[in-house]
Amino acid sequence: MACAFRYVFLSIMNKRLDLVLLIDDDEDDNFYHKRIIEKADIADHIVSLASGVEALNWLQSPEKVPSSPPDLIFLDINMPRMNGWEFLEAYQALLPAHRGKIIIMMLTTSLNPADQERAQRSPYVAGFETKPLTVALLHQILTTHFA
Amino acid sequence: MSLNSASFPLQASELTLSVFEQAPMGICLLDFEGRIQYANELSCLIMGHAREDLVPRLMAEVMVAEDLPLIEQKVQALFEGDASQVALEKRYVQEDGQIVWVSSHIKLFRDLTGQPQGIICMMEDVTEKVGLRQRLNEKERRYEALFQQSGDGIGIHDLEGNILEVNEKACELLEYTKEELTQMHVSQIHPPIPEVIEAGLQALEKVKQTGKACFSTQFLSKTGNLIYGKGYLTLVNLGVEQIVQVVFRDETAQRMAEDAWQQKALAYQALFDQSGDGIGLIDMQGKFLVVNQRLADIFGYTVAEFEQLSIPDTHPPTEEIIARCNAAVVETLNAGEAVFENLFLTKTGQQLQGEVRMTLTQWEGETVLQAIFKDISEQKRALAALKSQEAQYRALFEHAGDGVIIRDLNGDILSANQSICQMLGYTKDELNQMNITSLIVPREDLGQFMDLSNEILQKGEKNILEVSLRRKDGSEWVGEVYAKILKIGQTPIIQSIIRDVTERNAARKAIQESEALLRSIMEGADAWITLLDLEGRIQYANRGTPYYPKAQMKGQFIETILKLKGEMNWPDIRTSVLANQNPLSFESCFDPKVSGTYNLFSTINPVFEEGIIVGFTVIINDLTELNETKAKHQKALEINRLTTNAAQIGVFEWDLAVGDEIYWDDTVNRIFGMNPGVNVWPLQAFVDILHPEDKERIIQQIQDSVAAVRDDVASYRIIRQDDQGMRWIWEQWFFEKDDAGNALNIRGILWDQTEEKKRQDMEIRNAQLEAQNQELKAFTYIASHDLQSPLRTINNYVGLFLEDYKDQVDDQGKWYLEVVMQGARRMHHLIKDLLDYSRIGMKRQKSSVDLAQLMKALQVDLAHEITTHQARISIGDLPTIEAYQTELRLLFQNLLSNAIKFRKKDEAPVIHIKAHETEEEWVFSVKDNGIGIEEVYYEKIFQVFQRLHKREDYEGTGIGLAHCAKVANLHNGRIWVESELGKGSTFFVAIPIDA
Repeated sequence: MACAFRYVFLSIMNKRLDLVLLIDDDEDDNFYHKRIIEKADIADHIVSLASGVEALNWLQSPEKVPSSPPDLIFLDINMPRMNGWEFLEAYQALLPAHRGKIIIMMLTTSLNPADQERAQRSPYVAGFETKPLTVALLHQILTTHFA
Repeated sequence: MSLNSASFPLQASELTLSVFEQAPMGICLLDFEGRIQYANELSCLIMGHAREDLVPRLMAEVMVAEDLPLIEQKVQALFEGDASQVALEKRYVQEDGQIVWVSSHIKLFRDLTGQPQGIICMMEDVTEKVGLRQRLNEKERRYEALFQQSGDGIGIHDLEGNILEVNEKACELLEYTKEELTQMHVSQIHPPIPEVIEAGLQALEKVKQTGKACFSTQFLSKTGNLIYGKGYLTLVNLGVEQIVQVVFRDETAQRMAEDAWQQKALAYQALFDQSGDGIGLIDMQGKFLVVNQRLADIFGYTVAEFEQLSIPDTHPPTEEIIARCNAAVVETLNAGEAVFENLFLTKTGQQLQGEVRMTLTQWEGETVLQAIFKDISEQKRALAALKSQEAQYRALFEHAGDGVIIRDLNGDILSANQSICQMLGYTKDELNQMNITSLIVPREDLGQFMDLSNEILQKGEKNILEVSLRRKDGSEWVGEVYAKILKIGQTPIIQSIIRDVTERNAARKAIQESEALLRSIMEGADAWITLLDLEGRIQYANRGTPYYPKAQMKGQFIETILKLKGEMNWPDIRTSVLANQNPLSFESCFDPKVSGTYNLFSTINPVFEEGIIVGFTVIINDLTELNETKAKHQKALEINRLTTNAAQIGVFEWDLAVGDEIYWDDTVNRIFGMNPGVNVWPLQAFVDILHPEDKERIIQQIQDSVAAVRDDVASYRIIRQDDQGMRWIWEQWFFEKDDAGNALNIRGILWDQTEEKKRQDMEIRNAQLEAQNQELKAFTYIASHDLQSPLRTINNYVGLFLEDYKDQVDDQGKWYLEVVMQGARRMHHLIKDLLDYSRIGMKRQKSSVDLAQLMKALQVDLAHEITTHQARISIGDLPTIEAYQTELRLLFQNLLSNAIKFRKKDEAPVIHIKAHETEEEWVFSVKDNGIGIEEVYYEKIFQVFQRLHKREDYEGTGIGLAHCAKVANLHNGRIWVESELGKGSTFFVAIPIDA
């Protein structure tokens, strides 16, 4: 009961997000994380893409649904061909309209301190979290970055 | 004697008096004013005054003034009733001025009613005790000073290892404050290395049992510096408590010195190998232990053959010769050195005259003989010829290589020998008619010249001069004339021996030129290079220092321009170099008084001439920029290497006008393995010894250099002419141009840099190893974190399953379960592959691997995949090579299964495996018609965990090709790929043949 009350309370407190984007080559993780975000009930739309290239194309696509840029992107680091860092480099070159005011969380199993440091240096990376996403973690992110 | 006086109302009985008198302590009675009313015998003795002198004197008068305030204060306490008795130590001045320390007890004495009547003072002489105590204090202070100022770190800890006390040196060494250290445990000041901790524990145990222990250890300072040294532990009993005293000696510097010494030993080894003299070490049974290449060369053996020989094998087997050897050995043992000549025998039976300098030296802990051998056969022959000169004078006069003319003071020739006739092109008769002046090329001062010559000769002095002479055909040559006067009867005659020195002068000129070249190289050097005589006076300096212009350097003592740092001094350095005959390096500066002065590293080398030190070179390098100790050491090694090699620099000259001939010196001949003594070679001789792989490149480079008249450097390989050994050569050349800028000739230097190359290779190998270690670290990281990823998947989905389908399992539920199982399977593969990867090359042995056989076996292993995908595999001729069987099999298994895995969707895989041999390696290739790889990924695919495809498209862990790369690496080989996207890939594996 207390738990449920807390979630409701937080939902009222926090702004509800329009769109969350998941970028991860691991489809199993994408599916699972989508489920968790749905369960936390914090966003109207959740889009999951399996590679950085797909994500870059999608962000710039005029026909994308919803048309607004994502409020929150979860980006994996270890991906084939274009890894999370390489994606960030390409992302910097996008038009601001395509980037919007976005918080990017590096969602990965890598606990490498070098990665952590690098994430802290990047102006686009607002936080660094470890897989898997949990409902509690999502609410914490909302309070920190969107309240 | 009476106790009765006006001040003392009490009367003493006779008994009391006698007891007082004989009491074993000094007793005085004083009135309230402090006047002595009675003093017993002993007290008089203690105070050092006659009784008549003391009674009735004020006590204060015989005391040391400084003690008075304290006594007054104490006595005051008595009167005020604060104390019934006071004890104090005070000083009395005796009659003779001597001071005594007295321990006194002072009390009021009262009558029967309790009324105070006076003061009683009992005293004891404690002068000796006080002195003893003072000395004790002194000792303690000195001990404290010793403890604090000791050059060694000293600490005290309890038996548990808690630090109780440390001295300043220990604080300084460990970089902690005393307060910090006394809060710490001994284990915190050692590095966490198991061996170090173990040694510390053992030493602690030993000191508990035996009271003393000594151990080698390392300390870790606050800032993480490692300090090497010895710890001396002593158990100290303090009453019931036991503590451990640790004295620590810092041996870090000593260890560095040992390292440096080892480097020096290496340098010596190089010197030994490259020496121009033959050197051998011989044990006390006369067997050769170690010989250098030169000695083996002289005797025509290989080094290995020579090291099987004993002394008698190298001599003709006559008793006399062997006896001479034995005598020399005995003399060496007695006097430490023997120099002797003897007859030697080469492998081919040829006899050699040799001079041997035998000394004692240490080799692997044994005293052995070191023999330095010089071939003096030529010298001996010349000497023998000289000895028979007397007897053969006539024959010599006629046929000797030197020309001889006998003339009178007017210059008229009296006699001439056959040689001079040949030299001048005249017959004897013709010459006998001539005056010597007509043989000399006309010069203005000829008359004067002859007069002067005669004058010198008549004084009985010898006269040696060079004269240009003219032949009968008019051509000219230079003769060196050695003239001396012979008195035959009354008429003095002059004998002139004339030698053709045209060639010698040309040779001398060549030497001067090559010296000039070396000098020009030295002038351009970064370092300061000076040449000293034996006294340390500068004979030559290549540059001026900031405080001494070059012009003023000559003749200065080296110590005036170069100041030594630290404890060293010049006489010691010189003595050391003279005694050890080894280079010595030291730190120095130009002028310690000028701030920002240079930080220099100098090396002094002995200069030998015919085995004797005739001077020194000092090479000074500016290390101002290089403050790191490590960098200094590196630099020092570099300098040592350069100086060791200095004598091994060959010089060559190529006259472009001549074109197809090249001059080089004997050092070049030695390096190239060509005949010494032959110094002009056809250009082709150089081209012939060039390594086939470098030939084209070097010829091109030289042609380009000549075309552009551009100085250049090159590094290339040669195949030595004599032993066919491969050597790396470093070469640098310069153009000499005429005024118009046209190239006249090329001059250059070259040296054998094979050893250097080998070391560079080692360094590269080390770097590779370092990289591999880094990868291993990354691997550990991944193994401990990323391996959790598939496991997490399992957890996540099992969680979902329980949440959503607790009670029922429908299709969805079954799918979740499938995912769980996939995750688990992936995890399994990952761990297996990773373990395989990390195990490559561990404790493996190379064996002979038949690759054709191996490929057959692999096809059986992969039969399932091959048939499923209808793969066609063709295999060319494959060799049998020395390799790590299991690893090589894994490599090809990975390449083969990749070739099948990354096939095109609509095309059956076609794979071709073949091998070809180059001079140095076998190159294997696995070619497929698969999907191909974009060029940007050619390198990336060989890194661990790099995948180009989603797992959903191509299964895999991203380890396979990293695995292959590691196996190739293990064989010192290479792996690479060439590919075209959509057409297929070819993977190449190169394995060195001798690896």
